[in-house]
Amino acid sequence: MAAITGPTLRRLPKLRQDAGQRKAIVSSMAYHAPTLILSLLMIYPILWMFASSFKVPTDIWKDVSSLIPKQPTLDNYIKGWAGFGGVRFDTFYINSFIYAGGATLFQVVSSAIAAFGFARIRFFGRNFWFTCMLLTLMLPVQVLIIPQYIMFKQLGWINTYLPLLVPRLCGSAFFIFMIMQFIRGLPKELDEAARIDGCGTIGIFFRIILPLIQPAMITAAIFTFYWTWEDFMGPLLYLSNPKTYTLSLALRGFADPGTGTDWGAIFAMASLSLVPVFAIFVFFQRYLVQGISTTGLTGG
Amino acid sequence: MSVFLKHRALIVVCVIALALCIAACAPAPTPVPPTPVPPTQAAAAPATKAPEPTKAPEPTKAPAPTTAPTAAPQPVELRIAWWGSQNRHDRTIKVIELFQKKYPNIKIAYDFALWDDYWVKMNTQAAGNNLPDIMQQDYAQIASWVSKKQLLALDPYIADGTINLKNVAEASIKGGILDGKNYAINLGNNTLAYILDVDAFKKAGVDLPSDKWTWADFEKTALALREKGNIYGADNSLYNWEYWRGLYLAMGQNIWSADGTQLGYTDDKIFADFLKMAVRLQQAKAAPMRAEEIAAKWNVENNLFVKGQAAMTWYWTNQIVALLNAAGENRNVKLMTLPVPAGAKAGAHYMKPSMFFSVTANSKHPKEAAMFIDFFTNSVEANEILLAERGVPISSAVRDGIKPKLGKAQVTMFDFVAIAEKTAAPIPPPDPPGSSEISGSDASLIVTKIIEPVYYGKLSADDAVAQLRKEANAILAKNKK
Amino acid sequence: MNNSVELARSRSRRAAQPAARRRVALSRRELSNHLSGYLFISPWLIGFFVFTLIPILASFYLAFTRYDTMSAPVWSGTENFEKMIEDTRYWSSVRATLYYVMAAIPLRLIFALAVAMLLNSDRRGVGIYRAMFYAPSIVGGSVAVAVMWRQVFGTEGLVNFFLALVGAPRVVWLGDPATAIWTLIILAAWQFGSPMLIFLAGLRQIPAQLYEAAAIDGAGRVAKFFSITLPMLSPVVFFNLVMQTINGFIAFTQALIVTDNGRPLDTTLLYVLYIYQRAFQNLQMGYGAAMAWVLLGVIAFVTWLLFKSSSRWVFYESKEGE
Repeated sequence: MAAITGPTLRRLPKLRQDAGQRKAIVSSMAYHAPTLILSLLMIYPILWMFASSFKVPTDIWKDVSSLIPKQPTLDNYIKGWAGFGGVRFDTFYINSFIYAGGATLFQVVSSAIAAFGFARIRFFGRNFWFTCMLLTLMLPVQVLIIPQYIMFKQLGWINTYLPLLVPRLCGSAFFIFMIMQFIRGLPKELDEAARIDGCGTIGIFFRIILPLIQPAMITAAIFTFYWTWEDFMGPLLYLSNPKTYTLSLALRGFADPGTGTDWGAIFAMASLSLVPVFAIFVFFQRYLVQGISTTGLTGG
Repeated sequence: MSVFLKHRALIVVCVIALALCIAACAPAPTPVPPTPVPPTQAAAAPATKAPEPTKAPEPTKAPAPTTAPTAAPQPVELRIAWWGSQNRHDRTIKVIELFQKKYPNIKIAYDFALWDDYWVKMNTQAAGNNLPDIMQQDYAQIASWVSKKQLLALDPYIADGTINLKNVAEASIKGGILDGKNYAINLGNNTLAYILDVDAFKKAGVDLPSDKWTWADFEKTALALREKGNIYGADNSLYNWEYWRGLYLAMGQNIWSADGTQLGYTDDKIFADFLKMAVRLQQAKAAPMRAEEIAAKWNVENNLFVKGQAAMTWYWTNQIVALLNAAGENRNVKLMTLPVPAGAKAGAHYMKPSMFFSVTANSKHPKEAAMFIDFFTNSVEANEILLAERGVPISSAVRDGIKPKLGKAQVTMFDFVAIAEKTAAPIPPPDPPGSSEISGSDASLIVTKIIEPVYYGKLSADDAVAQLRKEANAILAKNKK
Repeated sequence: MNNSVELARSRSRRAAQPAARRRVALSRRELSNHLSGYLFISPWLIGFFVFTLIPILASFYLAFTRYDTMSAPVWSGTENFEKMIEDTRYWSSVRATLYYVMAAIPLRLIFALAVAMLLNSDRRGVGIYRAMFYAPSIVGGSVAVAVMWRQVFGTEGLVNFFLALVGAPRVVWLGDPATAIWTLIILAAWQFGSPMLIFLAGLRQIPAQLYEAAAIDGAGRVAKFFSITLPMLSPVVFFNLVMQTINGFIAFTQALIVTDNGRPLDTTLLYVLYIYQRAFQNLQMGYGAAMAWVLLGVIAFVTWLLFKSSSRWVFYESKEGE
């Protein structure tokens, strides 16, 4: 848009151009100033953590409120990266990428398929299964941990990534419901038209619906990646070898309330752990914009 | 037609559903976990288990824990788990590597977590019958684990010398003994210490209390520090449930009755007096208000003592090194044992095993596991790496052996533990099963429903102690057989 | 300006008509629908039977037992449920959770919607803002967040700094029973990224010509919001409302790490945190399971109410049950 307004404005008579520019600047200021202040407030705590990761450990708590390290140092990163007993953070990174990457791929695809089934096809027992699906979201995992563990142990899956990844092939209730809502926001005439053109149900899903729910799928991908990235409970229960630990689990290895904690290393590694999640968001959010404007959903 | 079709559809759906059910059940014939039969019943009494178990089909039991000692050179794989922070992880891993070098046939897989996570993991693994061979244990939890038959008695391995306890004082062994059997080896002696900032005392012109101080002395000292030095007397100090135990230990009693079915003391007034004193100190600003403490408490670095805003604080001795490091090398400190109530017969402190190593009941290689515990306990080389991070080593030979390697803070701790040992009350038996609901963590009854409501002015000290008795007894009554 | 709603509504009516066509053809299609329906949901259905159903049934059974995780569960009938009634800490947790859900969820949703609308723009730099507003939500529930948050609400923290600027007295946020829960509520509001992103994706789906049509009718911003944005966004609003409510009831990690086990005086003892304490610290898994199933009942009821109400205010382009 911004790219279009530039040349368009230039073609206008000079007087109108000035007024237009002034108005644009005022409107732009009115938008940017409060938004910027609000967003800075939002990220203050993160800046604080980031700044702390460059402070000398003794300064972190002495010089708490300052955002500028007095004696900036990279020691925290070097010490933190060394990890535990020879298992360094590059291992944890790779493990986290496997876990989060695999989970995202599996979960988004399978959720979209199931969501289409629930949203667009009328079949026997649909409401019953939908209710079951929602109910599974309402039971706190804390009481499911042990039965699940026993089950996976019987399958012989303990100490592997299988209990963490295989269930993701079956979608997630949260995302199924979410994508459903997006599909239901699409006019049904699209399906009817496609059907008249000879498209089957599967064809409708792949050719009509899937391209249109791109924003929902991208949103689901961003969330799945992040939620898996930060999940420590699954890895805690099913992985028993530091070489297989994920980043989120390893980060917890630094701190124990009873004993001394290297806060500098925690902040350094916690800051680093945000980088991939942040990058994924920044990368995908572009498509969030594009997805809609290029598909040009014209409706009925 | 349409009706018929509808029925057909229904049938098809039913068939699909059924197929799915079968598919779901196929990989695990009896995966329903509601009846995880205690894994250890078999281990405890293998003889009764000889015929097919009559209880329930239970595939989990496949590798029956045979206690057959394996011949030395055969390759053995052990699993070990502990809780802690990075310092402990690094040191322990180094010791494991050292052990593996000495015994190339033994491979040890290790696993660590922080305190909360550790217990979630261990309880889950216990339910799944998949505990590691060696697990770190805690004094407040061990009775539960023994009563659920999760741990192996180590007496045979102590008797045959696999675990050598020759250089260990009786008092340091006792904590791991339940019902006459030794289930756990103490990894370090620990006790509560009061830490006094000598310079702050001097600056305020307040005399250091005498070594045998009472809570009345404590109150006087704290008030004087506020009055003359404008500094908190006691930081982070007055909510610890261990004081509750200490008050009665000093009177020669224990908080639990011997059979663990009720409270073991009769005089509620001692505890009520303590709570009243704590309230007085908070009102006089000689101790921080509980609200302020909660708001500030999250790590050693924010301790008011460390920040120089309080002249006295308490810590467990194995945490003192962390505290002193945070406070700064040049702080001039004096360590004291816990104050006692008036008319005390003994010290209010006891030598608590900081933590244990136990061998779990489903270990397939208990002998090798015992060898590792022995190495951890008796090897000077290993303890030079560990450097008393889990508390003062129980073996006198090890203590002497590592002395040259100790830093200033560690020497302070060693010296204090040696002195405290002399006045300590005899170690009370481990907390009975179910007591974790009453005390032992910040989430337990004594903190959430007794101490903190009193400090917040929601409950009077007298009502609080009566309520504690009522509720604690109701919980402990379940231990009656 | 009502034209645009009318435009939207008529579309759904039109969509309803082709469904009532010839009967016979419909029946054949119905069968194929049943089959393809199950085909499409089969990933979820298989997962439900293989991975989810068994643990859920197990936890239901455990709710009627004494189970310490180490020995076999012992049937105890309704004992656990009776115990709940007398357990004062249980009721503290109920109170804390209701307070939390009723304050945090509306705050979070309103904030998320407002920011989503603010960022639903093609201005330059909007991508950067999106990233900045989303950033708090990716720090999640790690130890670092706990420390960070306690820092912000500490006695010398950021919040008190701003209070001092306007001359308000210092508040001991985390230590005062009246304010501690607000640190969690504000944390939930601060991490509004996930509903915001969903709103944003929803806003992007609203066809621009609806707004153009409304502009021709002379509708202002407010009118456009209520007559176009809200109705068109309602499926997504509904989704966010349902999911955030459910997630609010089962919130756990933040309370565990930020306010340290429900302090002070159990005012931040969220329901699931209490389940966790009972199940894993006191080894009363049966009691924990019983509490969890009561919670499930409550959440299911609230969700049912939301679904009931949805027919009045949620507007779908394609009607349910076509």
